[in-house]
Amino acid sequence: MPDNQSLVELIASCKKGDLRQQELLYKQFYGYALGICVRYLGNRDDALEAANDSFIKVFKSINSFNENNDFKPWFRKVLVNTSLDYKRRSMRFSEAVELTDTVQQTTHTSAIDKLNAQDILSLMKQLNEMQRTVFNLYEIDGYSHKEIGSMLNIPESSSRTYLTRAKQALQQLLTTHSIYTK
Amino acid sequence: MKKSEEDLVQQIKSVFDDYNDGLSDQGWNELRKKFPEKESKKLPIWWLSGIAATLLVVAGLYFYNGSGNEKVILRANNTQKDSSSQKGKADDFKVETDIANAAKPTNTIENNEKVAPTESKDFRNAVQDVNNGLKVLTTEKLIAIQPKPVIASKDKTETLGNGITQGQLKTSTIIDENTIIASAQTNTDQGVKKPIDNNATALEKDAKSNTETKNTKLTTEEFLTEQSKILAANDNTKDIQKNSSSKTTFDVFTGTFFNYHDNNEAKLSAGVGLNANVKVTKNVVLSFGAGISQNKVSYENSVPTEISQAMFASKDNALNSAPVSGMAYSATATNDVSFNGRLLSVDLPMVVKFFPSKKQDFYISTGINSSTYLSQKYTYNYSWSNFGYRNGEAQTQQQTDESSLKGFDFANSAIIAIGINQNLGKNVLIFEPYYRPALSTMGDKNLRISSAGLNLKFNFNGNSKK
Repeated sequence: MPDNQSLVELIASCKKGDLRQQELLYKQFYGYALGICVRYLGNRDDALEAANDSFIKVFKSINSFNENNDFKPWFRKVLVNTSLDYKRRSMRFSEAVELTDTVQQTTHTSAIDKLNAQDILSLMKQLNEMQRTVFNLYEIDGYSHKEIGSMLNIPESSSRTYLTRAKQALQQLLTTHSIYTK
Repeated sequence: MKKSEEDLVQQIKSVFDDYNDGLSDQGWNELRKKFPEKESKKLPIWWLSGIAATLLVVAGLYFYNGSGNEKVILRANNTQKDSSSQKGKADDFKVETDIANAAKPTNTIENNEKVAPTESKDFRNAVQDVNNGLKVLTTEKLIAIQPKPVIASKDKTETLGNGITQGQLKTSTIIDENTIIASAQTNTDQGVKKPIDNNATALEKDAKSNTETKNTKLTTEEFLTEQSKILAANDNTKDIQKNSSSKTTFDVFTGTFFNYHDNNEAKLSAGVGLNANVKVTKNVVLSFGAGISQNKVSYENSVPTEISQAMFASKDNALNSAPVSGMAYSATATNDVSFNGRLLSVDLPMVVKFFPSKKQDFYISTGINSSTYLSQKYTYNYSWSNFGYRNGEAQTQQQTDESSLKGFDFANSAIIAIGINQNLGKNVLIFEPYYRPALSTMGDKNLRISSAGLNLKFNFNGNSKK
């Protein structure tokens, strides 16, 4: 990641439409963007598409961005919203993935801190789509239940329920497969 | 939150904070397929409009200048009648030979033949009146109008123009004895709100509202408040669009076009009207309406110089050939003939529009047009020369036929058009170059009029471009 000063300069260059600087910004925030999108979308291909769409939105509206503000939170919101849009377009919220025997196939180390990206994604995939989204929004990205309710067009109470179930499911998954010991 | 949960969350954050798979180059290449957007999207509209306009100009010039090929048939008979011998016809002297030769390679018409050459039936009808008019004039009025021939016979003076009774002007035929005749032929989501599609818009607002604070939660709230408002507005807009897209839309149009009739000069005309568009399927729209347009057609023939010269030569020949002075001499020539038709019609187009592309930014339409007529006016102008009067100075004559609120021609023309949509706010401006070939005839005179032009349509509540 670039330091703050160089990021300000980079954004200023991007505002001028300099394609090389845009490419530089892209490559510097590629991992950051892909990480957020893949958490919501579950696979790299969809995540890349959503990340690229987010970058395009940023490039198009970067003139309205104040360089004195922190870029990452702003960019994160774009990424999260774009990922949610992508999920809605794909109508994946309608899916209700139940915990299945595939859980048995998950191989993990015995400690949470040894979970790698693939392990986490595999775990998350065992969750219901809505549970996973709410978990990501609340626990990882810091949105409130009120905000989540507004974003997902569900009651605030439903958001809490989905989160509780997500946590319970994760606990169950971790316990069952001995990847976590109390 | 339990410690285990905290640990899990922390692990997720740290793993996905920089999920760089080393394929950023590939990712950038993917992005470059969509960004920056080529700004050529609007270009085709202007290009096509330009092309359409250019074609119209070229076609106009072509038709304007294309009426130079003239065919003329000239025929002359000079009859001298010897009153004493009563030989009359037997002594007819034909001047036509030389003149007819001069008129080659056009049709050669034998004396007393009724010739109906290859011209179109509709025009024949239209021109028939000219002939009739000539006939009337020659047999009745001309004598009154024109002085008697210079040379008169003792027993019988031949009147002028008896022969202008038959034939087709287009192929230059007016035949009889005692006449010189010339004319010319020219001639998504279940239970979930619709997507937040306008992040770009939100970004702008968000960027402005992005405060100095680093408190992500607060910023997020602000963002979401904005987002909620936008979502609400967005959903309302989409509802409206959905509703309106299922309804009939209307457009008003104005158009300029060229009429042409057979090979005749094209005339610039204009029209205005109102259309209703009814969505049949996602990509198919049925459009019908009514418009008022003025259709003009024109036909004009003139005698080439060499034929004029031949006519005058024939006169000299006729005089020289007269056996004795005082013999009857008459010679006439029809020189220039023009016909103008002006029809003020109510057009009733019915077309099917097909939108091939997802964006529905253009369409192809085809259909039929029917017409009824508010007024029709046909004017015939012609000039003729009598070589026995003022040395053949041309005399002009005009005849006009008019009618109003008369006639209905169903499916008199086909409509083939391409519409190019240009959004103007909620409405749509449509450039529609079109071609309307004649399927049948129009008006009292059965004119077969085709047209090509450009319609400029303004669609209210347009949803043709999504």
